[in-house]
Amino acid sequence: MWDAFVGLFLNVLLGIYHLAGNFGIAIILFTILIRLITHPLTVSQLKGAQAMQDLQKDPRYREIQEKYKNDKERLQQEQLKLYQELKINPLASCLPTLIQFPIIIALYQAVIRAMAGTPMELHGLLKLVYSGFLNVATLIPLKSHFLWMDLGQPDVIPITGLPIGLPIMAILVVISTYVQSKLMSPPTSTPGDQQAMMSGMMNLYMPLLMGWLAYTLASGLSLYFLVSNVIGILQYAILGKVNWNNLIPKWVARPAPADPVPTAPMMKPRPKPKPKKK
Amino acid sequence: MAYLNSIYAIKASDGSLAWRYPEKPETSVTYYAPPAVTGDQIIAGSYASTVSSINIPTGSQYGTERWRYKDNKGRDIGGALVINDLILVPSSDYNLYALDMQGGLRWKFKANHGLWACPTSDGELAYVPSMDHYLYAVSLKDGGLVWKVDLGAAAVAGVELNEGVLYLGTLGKQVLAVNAKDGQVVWKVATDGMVWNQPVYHDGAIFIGDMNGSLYALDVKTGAQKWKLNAGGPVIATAALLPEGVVFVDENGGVKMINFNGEIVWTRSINGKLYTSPVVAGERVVLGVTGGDHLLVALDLRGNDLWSFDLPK
Repeated sequence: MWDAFVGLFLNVLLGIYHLAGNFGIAIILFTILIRLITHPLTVSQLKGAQAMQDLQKDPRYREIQEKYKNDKERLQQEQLKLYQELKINPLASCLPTLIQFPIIIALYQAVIRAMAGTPMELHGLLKLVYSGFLNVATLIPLKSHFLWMDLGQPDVIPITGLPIGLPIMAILVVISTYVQSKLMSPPTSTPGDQQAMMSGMMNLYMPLLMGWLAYTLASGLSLYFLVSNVIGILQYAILGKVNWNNLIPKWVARPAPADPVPTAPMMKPRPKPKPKKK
Repeated sequence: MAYLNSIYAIKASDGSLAWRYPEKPETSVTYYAPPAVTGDQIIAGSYASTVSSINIPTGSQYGTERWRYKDNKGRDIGGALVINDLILVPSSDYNLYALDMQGGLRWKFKANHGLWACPTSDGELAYVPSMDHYLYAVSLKDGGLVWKVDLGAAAVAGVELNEGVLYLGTLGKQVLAVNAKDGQVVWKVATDGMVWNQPVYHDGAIFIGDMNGSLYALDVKTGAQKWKLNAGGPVIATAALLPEGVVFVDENGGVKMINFNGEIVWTRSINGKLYTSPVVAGERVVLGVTGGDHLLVALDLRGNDLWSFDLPK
C-alpha cells in the first residue's frame, strides 16, 4: 500500500524528469507541484492555527484557564464549551498537517528511490516504475548532474590545500531552514511562555539537524530540502503569515523608549543636578 | 563470501567457517561485491570507498589486511578482476581503477556513469560495461580507450567472452554480441524482460535469463533461439555451468537444473530470495540466500541438500 503510494510519486517525478531531461530540474518542478496540490491544506492549517492563537488572547479563555487551573476535568469542559460557542475546531490546524505528513514523506522517498545508487535500490526502483508509462531503458541511469552537484552524491566542493571541503548545499539548507522557522513563528506576547521557548529551541536545532542530513546524504535531497524551504516561505508570504520582524535581531527591532525607563539599578537615569543657589 | 561488515571463508566440503576478516568488523565498511582470490591474497572492495588486500590466514581464524587502497570515491559492486598482475576494480564513481599487486594505482579509466559489473579481459584489453549505456574496451597497459559501443541501455552485469566475441544483456531488454576487436555489434536479440545477468557460454550457445522470468539458450553465431523456458520468477543472477547443463535461480527462491537441450532435469525451492549467482565448488552448487532460513545452501549436482551455513551467534 505504502509502496504503491510512493510509486505514484516516483512515476510522476520520473515523468517530469523525462520531459525536463535533468534530475535537478525535475526535483524542483516536482516539489513545486506537490506544494501546489497541498496548498489548500496549508491554508486550512494556517486558518486553524490563527483561530487557536486568537482564542488564547480571548479574555474568556484566560479567565477559565485561571479559574479552573486546579480542576483539569472542568477546565476541559469549559474549553470545549468555548470552542463550540466560538465555532473553533481545535483539530483544524492538526488535521491538514497529518494529511500532509505522508505526502511529504512519500515525496522524500520518491527522490531517494529515484536516485538508486546500489543494485538493491535499482531493483526496488524497477519494480515501482510503470513500464507502460515510462521507458526505463532510456531513463536509467538518471542524469544526476545539476549545477556543480552530482545529485546522487553528498555535496562537498574540495578546497585546495585543505582536508575538508565546502558543503554549499548544507549551508544553504541550514540558512533556509532557520529563516523559514523564524519567519513562521507566531509573535509571542507572554514573556516566559513555555511554548515560545520550545519553539525557539526548535528554531535552533532543526536547521542544524537538516544541515547535518544535507551534509551526509545525497545532494538531490539537499536540493529538495532547499526548494521545499523556499516554497514554504513563499507560500506563507503570499498568505500574509510571515513575520519579517522575527528576522531582525531584537536589539535592533525594539524601538527606543521616549523616556528612559529604569529596568535595572545601573541603568537608572542620573538625577538632574539641582540648580545651585546663587 | 561478502556479507555486511565482513568477508567469510567457508569450507566447501562441509559448510563450516574457515576464517573471517576482519577480526573486529568496522561498522562503516560494508562488503557487497564478490571477493577475488589471487595467490595468497583476497581482494575485497567495499561500499565505503576502500579496496583491501587480505592475507589468507594459515592456522588463524582471522584474515589480516595487507594493504588498503582508499582513493576510490565510490562503491565496489561488481567485484575486482585480477589479470596480468593488475587488479581492476570497477567503481560506482564512474572509474575503473587499475592497481598493482601492492595496492598502488597504475592508471584509471573514467566512464560517464557508474561501473557496476566486474570487467572481463583477454589479457590485452579490459571490457567494461557501464550504467551509461556503453561498453568500453580499455588497454590494460595504460587504461586508454580502444573503442566503445552504444548499447542503448544500462548494462548492470558483466560480459562473457568467447572466441573474440563479447556477449551481454542490458536493461533495454536485449542480448547483444559484440566483436571484441572493434566493438561492432554482431547481432542483437530482444528479450521479454530487462536483462540483469551475464550470459554463460557452452558449446556454441549462451544461456541467459531476464527479469520477466524467461530463460534462453541462444546460438552464438546468429542469436537464434535454441530454446526458451519459464523460470517461475524474475531472474537476476547469472546461471552456473555444470558438466550436464546450467543451473538458473530466480528471485522467488526457485532453482532449476536444465540440460543443454532445454529439458528440466530437477527443480528445487529455497526459502528466501536468490539474487546472487550459484557457485559450483566441485560436486556442489552453493547458493547465496537473501532473507531466508540460511545464508548459504549447498546442493549436490542432483539438487539434494548437502549443508547450510549461518553466521555463528
